[in-house]
Amino acid sequence: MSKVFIPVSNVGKAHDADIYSVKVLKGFTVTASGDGSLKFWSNKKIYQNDFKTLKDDVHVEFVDATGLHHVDCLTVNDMLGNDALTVNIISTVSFNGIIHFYQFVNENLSTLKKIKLLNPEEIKIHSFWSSLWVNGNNDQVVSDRLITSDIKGNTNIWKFELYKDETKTEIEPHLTYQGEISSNEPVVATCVDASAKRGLIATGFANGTVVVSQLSTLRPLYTFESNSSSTVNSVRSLKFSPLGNLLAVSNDFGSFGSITLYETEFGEKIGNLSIPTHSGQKLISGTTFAHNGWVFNLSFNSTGEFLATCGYDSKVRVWDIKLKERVSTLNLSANDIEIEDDIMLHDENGDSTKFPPIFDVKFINKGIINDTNEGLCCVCMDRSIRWFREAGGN
Amino acid sequence: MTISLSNLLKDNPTKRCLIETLTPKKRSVHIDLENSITDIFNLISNCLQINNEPVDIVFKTGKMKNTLSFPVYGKASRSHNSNTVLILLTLLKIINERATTNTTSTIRDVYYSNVPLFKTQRTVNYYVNIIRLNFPGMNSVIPAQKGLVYTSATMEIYHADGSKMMLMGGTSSLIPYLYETSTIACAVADFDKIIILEKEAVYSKLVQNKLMLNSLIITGKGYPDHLTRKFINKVSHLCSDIEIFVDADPDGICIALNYMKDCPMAQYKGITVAALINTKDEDNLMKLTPRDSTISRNLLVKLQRLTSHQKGLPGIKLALQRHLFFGVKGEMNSMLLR
Repeated sequence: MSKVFIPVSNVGKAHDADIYSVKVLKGFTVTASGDGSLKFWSNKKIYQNDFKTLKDDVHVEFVDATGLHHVDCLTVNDMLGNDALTVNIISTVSFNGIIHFYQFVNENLSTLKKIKLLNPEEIKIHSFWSSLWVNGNNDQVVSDRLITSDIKGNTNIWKFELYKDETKTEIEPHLTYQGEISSNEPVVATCVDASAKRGLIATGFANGTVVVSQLSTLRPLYTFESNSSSTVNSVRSLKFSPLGNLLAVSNDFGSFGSITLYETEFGEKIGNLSIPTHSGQKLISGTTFAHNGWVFNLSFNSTGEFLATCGYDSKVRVWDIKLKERVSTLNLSANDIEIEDDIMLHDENGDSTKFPPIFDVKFINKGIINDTNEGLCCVCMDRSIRWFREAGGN
Repeated sequence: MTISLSNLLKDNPTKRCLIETLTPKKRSVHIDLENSITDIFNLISNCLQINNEPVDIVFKTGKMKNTLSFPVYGKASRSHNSNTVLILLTLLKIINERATTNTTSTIRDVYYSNVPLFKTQRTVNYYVNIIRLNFPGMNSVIPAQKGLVYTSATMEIYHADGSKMMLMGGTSSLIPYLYETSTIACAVADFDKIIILEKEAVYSKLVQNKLMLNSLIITGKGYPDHLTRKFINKVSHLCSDIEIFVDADPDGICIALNYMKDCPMAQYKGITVAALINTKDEDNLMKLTPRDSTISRNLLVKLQRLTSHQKGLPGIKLALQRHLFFGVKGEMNSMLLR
């Protein structure tokens, strides 16, 4: 069984510096870059394969001159007003450890404005690294949450409220602090993810460990150690499956990248995702790898059947979770970019970006860039953004 | 007349008057260019021995002026005050001696000439710098040379007093002492390259194996000293292609920035962390420590304040961001010593 993904659109030199993070919303693809700005790319144009004017219409929001490396968005529906409103809350983290918040309504970027959800003192005491919104799925029991990790290894959780007070008449987004999962040693908490369905939260660390805790009590449940003997064993990314029954973790394994699956009920390791290799390429201790380079990010599709991974080897791979097999590989090259002037083969320091490492990948739900099929979006070191969709379908 | 507290109180009904009366008469001696060092000593000794009055020694420390009283009087006294005066005067004495005999001493030598007084070499360094602030052009006590230079063609250094120094082609030597007015000329019209290195090991390798022809190779052995930076500034007209090679860690980038401050046309050339990752050898990579992360973050913030005339800044910013994003660092030796 294989899946085929075909390019829909791409844009080269999309930012003036590396693009570290991407988030696909209903109307826009949002990218965060080292040049310090967020860019909002119209999904409609991508749908129409209108790549030539993609850059003309992009909305640029300058945030912080030190550069941005994480972006996430929470979308909440305001059912109570006269008009049904969708409120989008964007959080982005800059390299100086500060978290910034923006808000816009529906798909209207003219309403985009900077908002203050945390006061400056709160931001100052943390040195943020990543941020993530957990949607409680508008379930009244489970509230939406903001989860952040910081460079000292702590995970902090806030509860999000859209309305000013209980009467729910006035929209005034705010956060209430829930608590902290603190780390025993000062090591960078590289990534976090949470599953509202299972009530779990997972934090990955630069020393290779993953701690899974309970979302309601913040009590640690399991710790997964890295199986890498190498000193380079940082956890790059981790993601819960949509139902929350699985946790996928990408670890550095020396200069390779390995992906491990855990089930979350008992905290058992299920296995590794790996490509068939010749025996000569097999690593010491028999572990196999998923990418010939670090795996920077993971993304489950909406059903949880497939996992997309991206790596330093300039490949995006899609895996069948049930079979634990690779079903698709996309080999990217800087020369793929449609507009020739936007092809970037070297960066400022002379490093080649001909085969660009891929920093982030996201599955795109049906109906956003294609009516019947799911898609993929990835950002690469050649400062390009690429969109793909699955081939075929009815 | 005898002074008693009751008399004093009678004559001075207010607190302010009392303090004014009790404060001794004093004289101020300024350490600056208008007074020669011999004058300063004369003024101080006259004041203390003949007039029996305390002295205020006034000198510049950066933008501010500092005043030390000797002997200490009044409310502003601090325990280390007299010791500081002693250090300052001792250094002035040494500098005066060297200046009259036209010799130089290194900071290290000065420190070892009176360890109990100075306690640390850093103290000497600090006060010599303060004296240099007040006497610009003071060259009697100088830091020991640290940087090394290799030149493929013979270079000549002319000082303002007419003296001349040679750096022989094809040899490695310590970076020579330079004055503000010194000029450097070279027999050949142009070097192909000026290469600035962080590590001495890499420098030695390049020099020994004669890997670079027709070029000038300089190392400041880690963070460069004043002299190395001044030297680079003075040779920068000999070649437009100036390349900086440093470790792929935040300190390396800080060092590169240090060089670029005196030589804006110098270009940061790595070793970049991407180049290290591409070697596919995990032994070349180390994890970023919390200290490294902090340095990187602070440098990124600092970069925003630097003026954008340095064209190399985007490359520096990129390197810092990638360090943080990848969470790794490495050394240049592993790349260049192959």
